[in-house]
Amino acid sequence: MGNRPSGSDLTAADRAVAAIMVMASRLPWIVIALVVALVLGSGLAATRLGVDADSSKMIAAHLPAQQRAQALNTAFPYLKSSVAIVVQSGNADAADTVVTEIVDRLNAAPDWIASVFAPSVDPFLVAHGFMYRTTEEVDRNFTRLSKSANLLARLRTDPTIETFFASLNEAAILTERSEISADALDRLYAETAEVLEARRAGKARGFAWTSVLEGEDALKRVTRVITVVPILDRARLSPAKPALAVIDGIIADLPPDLVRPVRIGVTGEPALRAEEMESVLGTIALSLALSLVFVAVILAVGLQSIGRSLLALASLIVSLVITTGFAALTVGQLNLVSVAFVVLLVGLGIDFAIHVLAHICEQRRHGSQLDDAITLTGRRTGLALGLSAATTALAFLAFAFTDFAGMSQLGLIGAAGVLIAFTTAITLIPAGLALRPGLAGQPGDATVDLPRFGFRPAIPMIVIAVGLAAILPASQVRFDADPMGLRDPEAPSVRTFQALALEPETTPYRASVVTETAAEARDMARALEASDFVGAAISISDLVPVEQERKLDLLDLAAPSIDHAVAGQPTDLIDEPENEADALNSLFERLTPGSPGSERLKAALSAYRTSRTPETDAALETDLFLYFNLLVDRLSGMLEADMVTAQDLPRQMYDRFVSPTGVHRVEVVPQEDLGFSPALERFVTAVTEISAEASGGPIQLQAAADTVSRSILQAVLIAALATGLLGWVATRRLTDMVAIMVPLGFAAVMTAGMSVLLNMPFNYANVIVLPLLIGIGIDSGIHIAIRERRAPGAVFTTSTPRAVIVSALTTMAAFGTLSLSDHQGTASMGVLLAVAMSAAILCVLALTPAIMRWLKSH
Amino acid sequence: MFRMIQILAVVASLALGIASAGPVHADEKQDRAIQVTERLLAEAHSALTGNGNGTALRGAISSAFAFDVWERFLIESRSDAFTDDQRSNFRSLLPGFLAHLYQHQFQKGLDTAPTLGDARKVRRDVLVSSTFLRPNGGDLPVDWRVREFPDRGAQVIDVMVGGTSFLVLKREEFAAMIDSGGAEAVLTHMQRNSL
Repeated sequence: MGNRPSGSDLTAADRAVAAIMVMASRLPWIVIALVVALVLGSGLAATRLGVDADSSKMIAAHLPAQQRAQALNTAFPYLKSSVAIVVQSGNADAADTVVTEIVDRLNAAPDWIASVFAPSVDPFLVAHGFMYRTTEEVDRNFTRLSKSANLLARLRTDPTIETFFASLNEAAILTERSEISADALDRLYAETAEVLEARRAGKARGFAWTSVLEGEDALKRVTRVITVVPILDRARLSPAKPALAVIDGIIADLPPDLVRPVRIGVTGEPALRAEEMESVLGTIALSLALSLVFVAVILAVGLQSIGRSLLALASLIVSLVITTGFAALTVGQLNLVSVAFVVLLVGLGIDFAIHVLAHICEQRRHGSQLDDAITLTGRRTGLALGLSAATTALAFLAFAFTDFAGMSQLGLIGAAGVLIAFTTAITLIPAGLALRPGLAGQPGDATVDLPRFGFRPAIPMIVIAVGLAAILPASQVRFDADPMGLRDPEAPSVRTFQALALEPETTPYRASVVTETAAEARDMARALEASDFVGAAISISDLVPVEQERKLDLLDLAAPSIDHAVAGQPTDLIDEPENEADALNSLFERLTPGSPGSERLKAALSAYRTSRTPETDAALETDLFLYFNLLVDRLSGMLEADMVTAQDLPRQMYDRFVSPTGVHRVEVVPQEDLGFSPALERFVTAVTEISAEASGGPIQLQAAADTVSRSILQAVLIAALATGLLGWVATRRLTDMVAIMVPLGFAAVMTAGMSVLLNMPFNYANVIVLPLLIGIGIDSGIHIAIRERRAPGAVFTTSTPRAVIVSALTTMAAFGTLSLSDHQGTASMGVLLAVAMSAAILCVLALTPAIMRWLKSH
Repeated sequence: MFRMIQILAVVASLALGIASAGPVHADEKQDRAIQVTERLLAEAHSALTGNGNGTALRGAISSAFAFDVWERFLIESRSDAFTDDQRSNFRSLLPGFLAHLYQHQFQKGLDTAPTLGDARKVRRDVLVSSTFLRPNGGDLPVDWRVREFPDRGAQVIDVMVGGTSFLVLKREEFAAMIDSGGAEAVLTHMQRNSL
């Protein structure tokens, strides 16, 4: 190879790197001893390194949105720390029976459960629930109840199938005689038919007494939420794990018959985080095993020796351990983004080792002695290695000063890591080779040249065309700040969360506005509700029922009826009660066409009469009265209702709207589904226009998205300018820097475009791709550019492109397997990383030499 | 389905009699409620078994019933449908209407006087139970809901049979009439069914 640099071509960096490498090769044991000492010290320090998976801490704490969020969490800590047990059913009574059972069992497990609140079965809210309906609804319901009082009393005192049909027949007779519309019984008929049909189909459906009596659609799906404040074990990676285990155990132990008609899910921040941790770790073993195999194969093929591969890996591992120690001493606690520094270092750290090894081997193949090979390698790659380390570190440092706290941490650690990896490569590898000279190869070893595709004009043109075409989709690139986007969509807690998010009544995407007084909160709620994008705004005042006197008057009116239903003796309201068989026949004959419930019940009764057995009767009786006592209990509680003030509300409810220090919170529910990004923006804009002090999940999400976008743009610009400037200062060749930066720009556009085309927006996990792209793009570009300059037209006959490709393939192999993960963030990181690495290498190899040639010829 | 009280009144042959009750007195409020009910049943039975033209029964009802409460619950939800004159007319017709209702419901089975049962508090009122004898020999339990007013003592504000409230049933009936024929429909109905 006629590319030996003359003395005048050598830069200070070449000489310095060469001197260090030579010294390391001459004092190998001292280098090894120093490395061991550093590794031990760093390893010790690394044991103090923690991880905080709280995605809300990704953004700088000094930003107003973050400060408001912090203040909100301090005043209302339960908003974020609660576990939500969600019970859904097509039968309200079934749901409430299960909720009652779960609440009772949770209250019996005080070791890990701090408090439990289930509005649908809370005694106070059950007793006063009617007060939250409109006066007209209360009137209608109490009228219905009053008319049903004797029926209920009769069923309560004799809960048998015979009494049920006799009562139903009596009701039909009385309805006929009163000449009121037969539709009055339709709901009762329909629900009875539903129970009969279910039993005929071999299924059990408990009669939905509460829905029928309250005039609600008995088949309407209801969602009940139990809010559980867990006792956390801070010593664990998942502090809520013991409490969640208790909850899971309680749910698993519920009687099968009880849970059959319901669907139970557990969600809330602690549950989401715990399952997220499990999903991240779930396939990590498989990913790790595959990665090790792939990396080993690529290194072995690329470096053409297992021994050299192990040496490169040793250099990488040393860099990782020392960098981890550095992270422990500087930042102390990693976040969701900075925890990925490992990915970064594997991607970048291995570069230096591969380039050093590849170059030394190249020199040995060409006949140099080991000492000469090391010296020549230092002289020929010193500038490229030093410059790429410095520019990459500079690019990372550009992130260190942004408000994107997650990335700024990573920027600092990444910058240090790159410098550590560089230093390790130019010391440990020469030292290792000095101790095991055979690893450097022998003169005349065969090598395989790479295709010279960088010089075929068509290839650069195709790459440029693809890059230009990617601009359009790339312009739609976005950052998804919602941590839900990271999580496994099939994880139970995520599915439950998404189910809640579908309904405005239960959506967890709610904003908060904090005020000083109750009056301010009330006024703020009214102002917010005026917005088209706000579904509801609730302050503590809204939890105090309106028109209470009128409703209590209606209760007073209905109270004797309720009392009769729950405690009175039934009265025979027809003179000659029929026996059960007669009653059933009589009822059958009275069911007339015209109302859906009546027709349906007639058909169901017809089928029932022809196939009834003592066993089916017993099962039907169970179905009919399964939830009857729940109704009786609810009605009994209602008799105790009285005027409600804010202070009377259940503590867990009150505390969510008024803090112990007297701060008031307005809860703002969106009108639209905020899973859709523009809807989030509309909602946040509407709320913050009314109150700049708004906080809570959606506000934080939007602020995070804005901050991250701004930070990335700012960092990328600074990185590009700084690295370009440094490169120009070091090489004094503007053309080289253009040849390095332009391909990087094309690679960035292609990656962003693919992010859009794959519907894989950037998120807290895969955003690591951006600095990695900058780092590897610049590194590879520098290596290729300097090699091309020193061996014009012959770069593809040198070891450099091989090293560049092997380095990128190693990164892709190491982390591409992450795409197998159930965790969406991790999987998208694997996919986008593979895309970014491919784009970077393609652009560098195709464009850098071509641009240099073109610039030189022009 | 639950207009059962109306139906019950038609199909049942009730025997009315003067109560000779021996209820348990829980407290003074309950005592007063029992006294009012006892007096009402006695006077009403006397009026229905005597040869009066209804004045006595109307007097018994007037002295025992809190008409303002009846009026409020019966037509408050449709109060906008009434002019002041109509409201005044309603007020004047109410005692006769309730007396007629009483007569219509309980005039059968007058051979035996109703008996008073116990009294119990339900929220802020007292329910006084009584039993009327049906023509078929069976018992018909009737509860009298009594409220104590600071200015006029205890008065009956509702009558319950089988847990079903007269007030509720009549209110619904009136509401239907008002919705279809306005306030005049109710007033005409009351005039036709007045004692």
